[in-house]
Amino acid sequence: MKDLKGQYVEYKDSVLKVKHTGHIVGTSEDGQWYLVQSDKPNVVKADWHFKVRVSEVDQYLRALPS
Amino acid sequence: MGRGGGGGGRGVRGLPINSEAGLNRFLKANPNDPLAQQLTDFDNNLVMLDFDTGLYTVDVQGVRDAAKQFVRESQDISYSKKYLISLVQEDALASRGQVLSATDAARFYNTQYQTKSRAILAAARAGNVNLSSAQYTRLQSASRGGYLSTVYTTNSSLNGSLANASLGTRKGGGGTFASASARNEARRNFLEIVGRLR
Repeated sequence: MKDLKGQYVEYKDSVLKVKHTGHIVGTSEDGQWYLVQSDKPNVVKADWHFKVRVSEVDQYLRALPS
Repeated sequence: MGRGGGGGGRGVRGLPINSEAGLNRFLKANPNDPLAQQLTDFDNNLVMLDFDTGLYTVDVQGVRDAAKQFVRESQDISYSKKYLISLVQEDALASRGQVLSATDAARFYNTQYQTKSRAILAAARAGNVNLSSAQYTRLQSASRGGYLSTVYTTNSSLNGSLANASLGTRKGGGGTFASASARNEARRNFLEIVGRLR
């Protein structure tokens, strides 16, 4: 598994039509997921907000917007 | 290509649409129905409108792509439930001025998922579009509602806590990354296990 800590992730939910963005902060214990903390300003406090399957993460990685 | 046999031909219980003619009858009779709105939402690419006849036809590739995306999203991405509910509440307030309780927000999300999956299934059935068994199974499951209760089964996934996750090089449960809620949860879990051993 690649160390992607700090990498920026972007994903749009096609059901809610909400864009989710944030930074990878770690991995799940089973090694199946990258854990992401949202960068939305009013989001609830949590260790992670959404997670991305390790095998599929490449399609959700983005350059950090300037 | 893409029509005939497979998942598109299978029955979809409770859906009133079995053909493109049936699809058009349904859309004409129920333009404000949430299912009709999902079907005709051009972002979804499930149907195409023929401006000459005023009739809708099924967008076969669009239906295939929508089914693929629906399954892919549910497999690739998972939200902590608290985060998801807070987003739904925030969106309801911003877009409709509605204040939703957590229960109502969960119900709303379930309904959104249900309607979207029903729209994909209905379009597939109307256009006899072939879906894979995995897509069909996942869509059928979501179309029955209660999506969230099937997804969120652990405290970690409910709260976005690290009860069963690790962060970078952190070892054990007491690192500086652990929030107070995560530490409390870990303590509760530990005491529960100790209690069971006694």
